[in-house]
Amino acid sequence: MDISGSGFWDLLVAAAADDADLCGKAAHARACAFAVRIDDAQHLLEFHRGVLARLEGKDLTGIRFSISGPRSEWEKVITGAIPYARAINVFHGRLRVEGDALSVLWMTPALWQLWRVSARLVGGIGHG
Amino acid sequence: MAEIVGRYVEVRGRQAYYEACGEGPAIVAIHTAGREGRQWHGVMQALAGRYHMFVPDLPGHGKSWPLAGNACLQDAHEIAQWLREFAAVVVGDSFIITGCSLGGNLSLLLAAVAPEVRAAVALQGCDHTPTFTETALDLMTHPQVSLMHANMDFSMSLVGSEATPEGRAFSEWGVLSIIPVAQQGDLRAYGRCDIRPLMDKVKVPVLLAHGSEDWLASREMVEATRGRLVNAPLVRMVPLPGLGHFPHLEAPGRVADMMLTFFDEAGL
Repeated sequence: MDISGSGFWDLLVAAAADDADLCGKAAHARACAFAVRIDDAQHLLEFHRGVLARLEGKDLTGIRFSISGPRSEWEKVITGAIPYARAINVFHGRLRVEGDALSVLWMTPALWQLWRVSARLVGGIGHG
Repeated sequence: MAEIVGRYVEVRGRQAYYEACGEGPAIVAIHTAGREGRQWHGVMQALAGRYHMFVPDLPGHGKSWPLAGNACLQDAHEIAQWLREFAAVVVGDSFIITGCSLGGNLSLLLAAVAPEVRAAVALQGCDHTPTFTETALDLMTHPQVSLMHANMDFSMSLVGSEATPEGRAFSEWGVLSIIPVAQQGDLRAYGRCDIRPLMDKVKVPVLLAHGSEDWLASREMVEATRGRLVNAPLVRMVPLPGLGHFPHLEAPGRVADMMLTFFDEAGL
């Protein structure tokens, strides 16, 4: 599965919409747009009232924070091989979170749920 | 089941709460960052037949009053000094020190600087843990941050797969009941902890135990610490498969058995 490509993120957005736990946790968070950068690829996402959506285009207006890093580290997060916290840890991880730190914290519970869903999605694809 | 008794004692003019259990040589046990001494109940009861454990709540944690100005300690050396003062009042001039995570680091620090320490059992203990950014630490007391929510997944990712249901539940409760200023102070002490230059001053037996599923205090960090304990007469490193960052809470019976084996070997 090419986690850098749009196809994966479309599938993840759809899986997120079907996940009650994720929607429940994200519903309590403020609307927030953020960028996921995997090597040179970028995907813009937004949580709004519990629903995750992809943003069209490359306009970074309104993007509150970004999570960036090499594909190898992203694969570990997306497959659930390592916890998200480890991947973004200043000492242990290779992902970097930049931008509005408060927004990052507000979105933390929803993001953990998102990576749980991504692990299930990738596992399902892998075994399918 | 051995009785655990809670008491107050005055340290630095403030009421400090501690719990004690058992009879025998003294052990002082330190809780993890932002938590309190109940983490040690299982180990206390398991060791009660041979050891007398004393477990304080650090200032501002659990039932201990904060320091003047509602302050908590924020530096490993300051916390270590407070623990020495607590032990001087309650325990006496000779004791084994143990602790987990920040408490593990503090156990190593006390083993280096406190002649009253007979031995150290450091769970997830390391001499250098630069694992939190200053931004993350500052945000812990921001008026728009709820650590109960923001820290839950992080904290629970540190719990091992073989943790008892009770241990897992109490670890979760530790996040739900968090005191942000206490957590912030402890993690400042933890994130800024660099006691590497002191490790060659440790001249007592040391047990380093590592929950193998802990990604925060990693095996590599513990092994590096072990390599710097060049003057300790006995150093043992014990992996704890299936356990994470809170072994004493996750599997108190296993931790107690491990400690007894080490104490026997060290003649304690």
